[in-house]
Amino acid sequence: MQRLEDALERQPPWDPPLGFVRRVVALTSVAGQQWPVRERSRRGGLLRAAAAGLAAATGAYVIAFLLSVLAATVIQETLTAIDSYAAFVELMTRVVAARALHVAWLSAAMSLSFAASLVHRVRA
Amino acid sequence: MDRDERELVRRCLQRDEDACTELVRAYAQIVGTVIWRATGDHSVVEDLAQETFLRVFRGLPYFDARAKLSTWIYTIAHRVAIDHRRQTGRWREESSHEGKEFDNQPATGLSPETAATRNELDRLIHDQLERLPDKYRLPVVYAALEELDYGTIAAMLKVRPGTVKTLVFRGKQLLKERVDAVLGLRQAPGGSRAD
Repeated sequence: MQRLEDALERQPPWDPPLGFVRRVVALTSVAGQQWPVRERSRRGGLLRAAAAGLAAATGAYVIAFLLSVLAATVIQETLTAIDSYAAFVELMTRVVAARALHVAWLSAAMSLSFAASLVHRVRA
Repeated sequence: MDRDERELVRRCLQRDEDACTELVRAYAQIVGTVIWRATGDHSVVEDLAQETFLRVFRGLPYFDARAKLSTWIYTIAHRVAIDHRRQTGRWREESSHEGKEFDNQPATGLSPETAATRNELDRLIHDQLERLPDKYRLPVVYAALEELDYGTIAAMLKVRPGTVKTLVFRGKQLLKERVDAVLGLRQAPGGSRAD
């Protein structure tokens, strides 16, 4: 392994041929006429930071305002939903009590099919 | 990026020719070496190094000043080399060359008696290195360059530094196995396969 590492490290570096740097710079000067110019100034950075801060503050204000407007509606709807849920549970309890035998058979069938699917998965 | 580099970039963006010369001079050798290692073809290095610097200067206005200039330039050199390798159909995917499926026929012109000498061993190693899947070959050849640390190689290959370490280790192991297999093949009587 050591000989292998030595052999890898012994590989010579590439030496730029004579005039390479000059040629590249000449080429880039020609190509440079089409370069996009986008120099970031410090003032630009400050303006961007200020704009971001302003946007965040405006967003927070709008969200707070909407929440205050909607709060009453949201609370009322939540209370209605709680009432509805209680009514739903009561109705279901009455249905289950009236059809106890059917519900028992349905539960047994569901348990069996669930167990069968588990066994099938394990075998697969 | 340190202050000198930032100043150099700023001057290059102002199209200061001296600054551009300074930048090319500072990075030409390592850019060329990265390309040479990645392509394994000396004849294309000059053109690809030139292409790299064109891309560098084109991308300079968008260069993130928080990043390291050298890493950014090496990454461009790596991409230029990989693009070339793909275009010339020399990109080696992992699946078709990994494991024992590689061609372990000895390179022509090497006798079993002289295979152990340093120069020929080097040739053998480089021959087998060129046959490694690029997934392993690139980390191995880059890690052998003093200028590239694992963090830089990780940025170039877009993987985590830990992954680079693993790939270098696995690549060297694979290379050693292949070199040993070829040496064993040569030493076996009648040139029959050792495995």
